[in-house]
Amino acid sequence: MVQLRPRASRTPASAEAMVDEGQAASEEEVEHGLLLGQPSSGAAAEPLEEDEEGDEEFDDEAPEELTFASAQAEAREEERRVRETVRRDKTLLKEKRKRREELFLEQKKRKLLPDTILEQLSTAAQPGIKKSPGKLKEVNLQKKSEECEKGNDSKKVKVQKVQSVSQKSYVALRLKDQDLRDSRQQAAQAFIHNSLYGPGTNRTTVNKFLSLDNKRAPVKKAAAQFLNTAWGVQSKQNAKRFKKRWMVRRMKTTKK
Amino acid sequence: MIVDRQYMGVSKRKCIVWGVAFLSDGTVISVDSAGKVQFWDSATGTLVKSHLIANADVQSIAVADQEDSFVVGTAEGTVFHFQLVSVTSNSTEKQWVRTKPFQHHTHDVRTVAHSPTALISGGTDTHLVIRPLMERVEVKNYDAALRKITFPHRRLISCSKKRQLLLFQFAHHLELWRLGSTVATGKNGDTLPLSKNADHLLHLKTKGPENIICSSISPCGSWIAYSTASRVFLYQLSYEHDNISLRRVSKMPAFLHSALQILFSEDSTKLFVASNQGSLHIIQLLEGSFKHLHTFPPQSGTVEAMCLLAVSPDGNWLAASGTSAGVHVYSVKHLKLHCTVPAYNFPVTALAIAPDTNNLVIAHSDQQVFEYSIPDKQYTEWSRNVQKQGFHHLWLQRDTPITHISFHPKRPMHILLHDAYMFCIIDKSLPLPNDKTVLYNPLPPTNESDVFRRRTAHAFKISKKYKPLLFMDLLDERTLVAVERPLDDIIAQLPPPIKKKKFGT
Repeated sequence: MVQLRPRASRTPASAEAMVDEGQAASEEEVEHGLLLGQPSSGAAAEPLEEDEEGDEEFDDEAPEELTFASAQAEAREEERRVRETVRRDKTLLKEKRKRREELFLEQKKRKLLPDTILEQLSTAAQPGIKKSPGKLKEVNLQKKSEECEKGNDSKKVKVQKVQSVSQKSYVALRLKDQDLRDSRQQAAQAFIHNSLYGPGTNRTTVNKFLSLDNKRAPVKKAAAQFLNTAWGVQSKQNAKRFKKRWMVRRMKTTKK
Repeated sequence: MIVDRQYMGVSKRKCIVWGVAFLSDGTVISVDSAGKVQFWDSATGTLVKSHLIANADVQSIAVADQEDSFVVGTAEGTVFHFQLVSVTSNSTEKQWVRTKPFQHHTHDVRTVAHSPTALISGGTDTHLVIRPLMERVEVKNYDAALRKITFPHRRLISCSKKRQLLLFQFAHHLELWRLGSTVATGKNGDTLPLSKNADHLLHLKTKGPENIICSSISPCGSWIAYSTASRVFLYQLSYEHDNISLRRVSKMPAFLHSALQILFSEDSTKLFVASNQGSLHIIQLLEGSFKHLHTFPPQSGTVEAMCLLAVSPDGNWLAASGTSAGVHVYSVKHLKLHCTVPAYNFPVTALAIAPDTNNLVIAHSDQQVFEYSIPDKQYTEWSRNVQKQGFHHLWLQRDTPITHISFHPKRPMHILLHDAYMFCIIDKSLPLPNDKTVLYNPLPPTNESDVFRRRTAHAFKISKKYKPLLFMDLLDERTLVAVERPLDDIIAQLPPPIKKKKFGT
């Protein structure tokens, strides 16, 4: 903070100093410091000033003679240098971006199937269901040996499963179908589970089953499971639902 | 053909047909959730006969190849045998008759199979029961006994001796535990209090529906490998004090689809993979990556895959066995087949190579144990003696196969082996027991004289303390780790069985 404040007000002052050939600059300096009411700030600012301009000296040394032309030339030189570095940075950045772009392109190309497969895909897709080119990106590459051993007859190829000629280890699958199959599988599993263990089936609990043996055993043991989470499932659910409805109702009434 | 929808008088629930069988004479047999086995005429579509056999679902059916008998399994745990028998003693007219009920399961029988000589049933109570049909069995020997298989006859647990870790293989996940320790001391038979409890370090879940086929942890504890039906996975573990971090080694070689057995070498620098296509792969493990070293192709003329592997502690020999065609011994140093142990009629259940002597110990499913010297390419003298004298009859009548063999590093005469119900140390320096001696004498009676003790001592020291015993191995010279899986714990986690009224409860 202390260093920043004089620097902000210094820029016009330094330009003035160049014109007044140094002597006034130190006066200004002192005046400035007094003006700010911070005698230490001037001393602290001085080395920083030296860094910036280089032609300012301490009070005890005699100021160097400096013509206006040389100072101007130096300033111009400085300006030019700054501009040049900015330009160089810009070009460097540009080059970097370009390289990255190229890398991305190459990666994309690598990720995509080889051209022959793409061609085959498009030819296979055309007669059947129209398949948008966007879907090609969806194809999931999976290495499956058993599938690649099948013949590559393009007539046999379904729309969903297009097999490549050149690289046999790839099988293209549509993720949508996979999800559908999974959901069907889950539904089937749920059906079997529901009809075996669902409501209405004559099932006992594990605890009761184990207690049958325990009742007849000469040495009685504790139940296998003390806590039964199955108790009151319905009432717990009802309570939950009631709470939700109550909250909604409350919110509606408060709005009004 | 429409199944009667009535569900034991209650028409609320729909009747589900769980299984059908179509016989060559046009008969259709259906089993349904109402507990009925029904015979239909496929030509006319009429119900011929109906058997109400259970108050619960009949879930499975299997027909014999000759189509003269079939077996059904019910949700009550009962298995019924139906047979085609003549109506009268000398008429040609035949009829399906329910002949034998078997109750070997406590929970649902989800699947049944009918082999030429036995009925096989598998239930949700984790048992697989093989019930021989006595009228089909020709020789009434011990093979014709009822078999109840609870645990897979495979090693499901692997152990890292250096870090005292155990890796447990479940159907869909792996668990890694660090063993606890104690500083207390006690006398024989005491249970010491733990000063440090066992730690559950890792729970590794597989993606997708596939089960884990095999798994292994390296002896140094820093590698874990497992295989599902379509992929092999390799993980590297790093330990920092109490923290553990796991890193998957990606890009397993493309030829590795599935492995039947995975094994790490004793110095954890090599990974041996028995693929399901019959070849054996040797992979060198580097820090965070791997290098494929060599592939032993399957032996010409065989199609079977190797399912058991053993590597010698010095890392020079690799023994591999399939289900029938003998044990092949490969030289890891020269990367070639060294020798083949002659084929035996029964499949190998466990393999191990002894340190120093490089003797290969082979256990077969008929409970025979062989010792084969790899450098000499012949059976050892002790093995020949055992074969000459024969094993004790009680040893041969054990129910479960030996699943693990290990050795004591300081006692070369000892072989440690176990099955699900016993743990045995074979001391090769002692005489073999004959059929008159008592086989199970883990501790000789202390009140007897030394002479008697010496006379009754024999090579087999058997302990039945832990059962069912899933794993046992030596951690170091003075420590043995045993993994017991009580059946009660498993039963408590099973789906609920059918309610049955028991009198007096």
